[in-house]
Amino acid sequence: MRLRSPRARSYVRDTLIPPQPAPVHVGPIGWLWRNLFASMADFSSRRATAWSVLIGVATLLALWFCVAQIANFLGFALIDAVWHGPKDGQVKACRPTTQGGIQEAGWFGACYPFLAEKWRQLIYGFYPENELWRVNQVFLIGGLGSGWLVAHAVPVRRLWGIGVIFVAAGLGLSISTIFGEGLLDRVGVQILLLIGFVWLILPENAPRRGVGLFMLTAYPLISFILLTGGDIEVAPKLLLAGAMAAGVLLSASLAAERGLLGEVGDLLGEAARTLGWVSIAATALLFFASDIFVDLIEAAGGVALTDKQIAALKWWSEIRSDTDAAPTIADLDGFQRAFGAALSTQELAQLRALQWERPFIDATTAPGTRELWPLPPVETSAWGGLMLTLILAVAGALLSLPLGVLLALGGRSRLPAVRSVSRAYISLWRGAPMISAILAALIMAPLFFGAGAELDRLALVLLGLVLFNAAHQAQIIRGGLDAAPKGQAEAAAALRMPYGRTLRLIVLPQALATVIPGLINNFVGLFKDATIVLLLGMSGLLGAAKHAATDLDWGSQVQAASAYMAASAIFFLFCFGLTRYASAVDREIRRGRNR
Amino acid sequence: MAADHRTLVKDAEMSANSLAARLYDPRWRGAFIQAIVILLAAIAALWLLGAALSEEGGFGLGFLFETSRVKIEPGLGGYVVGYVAGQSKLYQLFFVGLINAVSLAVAAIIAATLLGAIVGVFRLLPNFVLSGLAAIYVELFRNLPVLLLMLTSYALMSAWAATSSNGTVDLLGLARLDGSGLHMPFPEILAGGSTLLLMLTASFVLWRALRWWKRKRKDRTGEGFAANRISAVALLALLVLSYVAAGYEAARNAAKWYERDFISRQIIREDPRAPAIRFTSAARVTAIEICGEARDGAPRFVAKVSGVEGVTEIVLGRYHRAPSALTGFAPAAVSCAAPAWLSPIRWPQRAPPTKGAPEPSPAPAAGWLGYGLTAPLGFLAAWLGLTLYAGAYIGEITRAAVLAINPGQIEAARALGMQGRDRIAQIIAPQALPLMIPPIVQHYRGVVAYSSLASAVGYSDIVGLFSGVMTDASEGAGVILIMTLAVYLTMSHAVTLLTKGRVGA
Repeated sequence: MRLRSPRARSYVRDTLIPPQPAPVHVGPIGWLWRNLFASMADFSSRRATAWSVLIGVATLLALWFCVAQIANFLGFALIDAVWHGPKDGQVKACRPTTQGGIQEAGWFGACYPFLAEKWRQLIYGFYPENELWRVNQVFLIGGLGSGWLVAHAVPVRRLWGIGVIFVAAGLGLSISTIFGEGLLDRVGVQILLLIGFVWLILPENAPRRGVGLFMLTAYPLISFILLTGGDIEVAPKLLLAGAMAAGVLLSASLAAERGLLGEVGDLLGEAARTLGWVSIAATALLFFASDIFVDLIEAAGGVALTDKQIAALKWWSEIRSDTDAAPTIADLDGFQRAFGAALSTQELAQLRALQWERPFIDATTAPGTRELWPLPPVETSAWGGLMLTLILAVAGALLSLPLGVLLALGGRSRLPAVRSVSRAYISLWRGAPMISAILAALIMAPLFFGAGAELDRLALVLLGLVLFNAAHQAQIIRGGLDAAPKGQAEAAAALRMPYGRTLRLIVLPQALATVIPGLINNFVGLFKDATIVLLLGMSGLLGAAKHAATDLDWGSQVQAASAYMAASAIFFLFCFGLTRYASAVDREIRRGRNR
Repeated sequence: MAADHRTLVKDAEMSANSLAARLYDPRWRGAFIQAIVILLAAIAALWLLGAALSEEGGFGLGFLFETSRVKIEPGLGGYVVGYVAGQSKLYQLFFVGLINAVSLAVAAIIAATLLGAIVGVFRLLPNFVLSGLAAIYVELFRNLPVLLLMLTSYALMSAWAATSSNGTVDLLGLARLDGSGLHMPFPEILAGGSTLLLMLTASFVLWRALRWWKRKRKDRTGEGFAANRISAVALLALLVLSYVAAGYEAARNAAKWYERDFISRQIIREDPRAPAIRFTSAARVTAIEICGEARDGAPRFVAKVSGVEGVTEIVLGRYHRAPSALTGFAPAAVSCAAPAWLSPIRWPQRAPPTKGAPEPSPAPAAGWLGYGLTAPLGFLAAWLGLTLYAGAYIGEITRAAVLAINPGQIEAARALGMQGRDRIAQIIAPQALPLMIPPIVQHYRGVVAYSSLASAVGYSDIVGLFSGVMTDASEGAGVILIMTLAVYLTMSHAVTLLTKGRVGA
C-alpha cells in the first residue's frame, strides 16, 4: 500500500490548547451523548461539520427505516395477518374477493391458515403421515444428544448446561408431540429410547465421550434404519467379506502387538487395527440395515409369507386401491386365472388374519411383506422439508470430514505428487459452485456404476455434496494444521514416533481443536447451501416453502411471503444459534491460548 | 546403556536391505506413496477420458451446433447475442448464459462491496442507531441462505407489483416495477459519441501525465501539486465543451436529415417526449413502412407513409415502433425548421410501456434498449439476494479488520492531532486493507459461485439454461458440465487475479 498524502503536513502542535471543562457525561443522558450525539457534534472544522451533518442525516434515515420496517413487518405478521379461515373452506382465507375469496384487493398480510396446512410439508416434505413418528424419533434423539454435547462442549455453568438439555429435549419433544400424531401409539419405543437416554446422560454412565461415540456411530445407524425402513437388499457375500476382512485385520494387528510380525508389523499394525474396527462398524451397519436382519427377525417371529401370498397381496392392492375390503371368492378366482395358481386354505387363512389391509400391501414398491418388522420402507424421494435439509447438512459435514482431513494433510505433504494432487482438488472445488459438484455426481455416477445400476438420487446428491465440502473443510483444517505449534511434531519425531501415530496423537487433536469454530461455521454454510437441491427438483426446507408458495389451490398473493417467512424463521434460528455457539467455542479456545 | 547400544547396532544391521528398512526409509516410502497417488490419478484421468470418448458419456461437441429451442427471458445476454429460440444454435445459448452470469456476478460484487463498506463503517461508529441497524442487518442476512434471499426478493417484488394498481409500481416517476422487471430510463447519445470518448481519453492521459510530473517534482523539490483536482476540473471543462459541440453536431445532422428524407408537402416535427411516430390527423393511415436506421443524430427510423390523406402533421418520437393508434389526433402546432442546437443526450421516456400498453411491432431485440433499460425481475431478485448476503459478510470483515488494528495506533494518531480522514487514510486503511483483502476476495469468489443459483428465480444464467438443455436431450451432459465448471472456475480465478496486486497484500 502506497501512502497517498495530498499535501505534506505536520502533525505536531506548536500552541497549547486552552483548558476545557472535563468531558464528564453520566447517567442516561451521558450514555446517549456518548453513544449517539457525540458522533455528530463535531463542528470544529468544515470537514468535521460536513461529517457530523452526514451522520445526523444518516441516523434520522436509519431511525425512520427501522421504524418503518418494524411497522411493516408487524403489520404483515400480526396486524394484517389472517389467523383463522372461514369454516366453509380454509383456502378462501387469503384469496382476494375478485377470485372468490374474502380479502379485499391490495391486502397484504401473513396467512396462518395456509401455514398451518403446509407446516407438515415444511418440516417433513412428503414423508407418509402414518410414519412421521420415525422422523420425530430421529429429531428427538438428535436434539437430546447434540444438546448434551453442546452443554458439555461449552464449559458454561452447570445450570446453563442443564438448561440447554432441557431446551433441546423440549424442542424435540414438542416437535414430535405437536406434529406427530403417532407419538403415543408407539409408547413402547418411546419408553425404551427414553430409558436408554436417561441412562446415557447420567454423568457417571455417559461421559461426553460416550454420548459423542453414540451420536457418531449408533445414531446414524438408528436414523438410517428409522428413516428408510431398513430392509435394504444386501448380498450376504458382502457381509461375509466384511466380517472376514475385519477378522483378518484385527488378528493381524493382535499378532503385530505381540511382535510376531516383526518390523513390518510395528509399522502397519496400527493401520490394520483401525481398518479392522472400521470394517467391523461398516459390516454391522450394513447388517442391521439389511434385509438379512429383517429376515432373521421374521424367522424368529415365525411368520413368513410365501411368494404366492405376497403376489396375491400385491395383486389385490393393485385392483383395489382402497384395500378396506377383503376379496370375495369370485375375486380370488380372478387371481387364480391371472397367476395360474390357487392359494391354499392355510395361506388364505393367514391372509385373512392380516385382513388384506396392512400398510405393506400398499407396497408395490416394498421388497417384501413383513409381519414383525414395524417399518414400511419410505423412498428417499418422499423425504423433504427441514428433515431433508438437516440430513444433507449433517451427513454431508460428517462424511466429508475424513476426506477433508486427508486433503489438508496432502496439501502440506513433502511429497510433490501428493501435494499437487491435493491442492489441485482443493482449488478446483473451492472455485466452483456447489451445484456443479452435485451435477457432476449425478452425471458421472451412472457412467461409473454402469447405466443399469439403480442409484438413489439422494445418495448421489450427498456424494456430490461431500466431494465439494471436503475441499472447503480441507482449507479450514489446513489453517488448524498451520497453527499447531511445529515443535510438537518435531518432538514426536525426536521420540521416533511414526507418522501415523504422530498425526493421531499429537498433531490432529491440537489442529482440530482449534478449527472447531471453523467447522461449525462450515456446517452452517452447508445447512444454508443444501437448499440448492431445489434446483434439482428435490424439496428441502426451502424447496418445500417454494412448493407451498406456488400452490394454486390457495391462489393468494401472500402465500409466498408467508411461506418464506416461516422458512426464514427456521433457518435463522438454526444458523444464528450455531454461529453464536461457534463464537462461544472460539472465545473459549482463545482464552486457553492467550492465557 | 547396553540396551541402547544394542538397538543402535540392530538399526545399523537393518539398514542394509530388509523390507522393513525400506518401509522406514522416508525416500522409499515417499516414492511408494507418490507412485500410488499418481497411479490413482492416472486411472481416474483415463476413466474420464474413456467416458468422454464413449457414446453414452454424451461428451460429443456436435450438439452445440444444433438449433436451440430453449426460451429465454429478455436480458443483456439475449440482447448482445441476438438470441432467438428456434433459430439460434446451442453455442449461442452458451454465450447468452455466460454474459448473463458475468453481468450478474459483476453487478453483485460492486453493490456488495459498497454496501459492505457502508455497513462496516456504521458498525464502528459510536452511534447506537447506526451501529445497531448495521448489526441487525449483518446478523439477519448472514444467517439466511442466499437462495432464500433471492426467492423472497422475487416473491416480494412480484407481490408488490401485483397488489399495486394496474400491476405496476411507480418509483418516484424515475422507474417502474412490474411483473416483468424494473424499467428505467437510460441516456442515449445522439451525436458526438466519438468526441466524448476522445475527451475522456484525453483527460485520462492528462491526469496520468500530471501525476507523473507531480511525483517527479516532489522527488526533486518536495513540493506538492493538486494533480487530481486540476484533472477533475479539466475533465469537467472538456465534458462541457464536448457536450456543447455535440449538440451542434446533432442539430446539423438533424437538419441534413430533414432535407434529405422528407416529402416536402408533409409536415413533420420531432418530439423527444412522443412515444412513437405519431400522425396528427383525422384520417386513417393505410400503410407504414419502416425503411431503416438513419445516421447518427437523427431519429432512428425513417417512415415512409403511403395512403395517407389529409395528414397535417407527423411527429417523430424516440421510439422505433409502429404507431399504435393513428387516428383521432387533433392537428397541432407545426415547426419545420431544425434548431441550431439539440441536446446530444436524450433520456427516453421515463416509464417505458408496460403491460397495459400495446405491444410494439417489430418487438425490440430483447427489451434492454430503446425503451430505456429493463432489468428482468429474475436478475433483480438474484442481484438483490447476492448483494444483501455478501454485503453482510463484507461489512463484518471490514469491522473485524478495523478492530484488529492495535488501538494504540489510532490513539497515537489522535494524540498527534490527525483528523478523521487522515487517520483513516494514513493509519487505519493501510493496516486494515491487507487484513481485509484475502477474506473479501474469498467472498467475491463466493458471490461468483452463488450467482449460479439465479436460475431459481428464472434468470437465464448458464446453469439454468443448460439444465434446460440437459432435460431436453441427455446428449452433451458431460460437455455442459465441463463448460459450466470452466466458466465458473475462470470467473473465480479472474476475480483472484484482478484483486491480487491491486493492494499490496
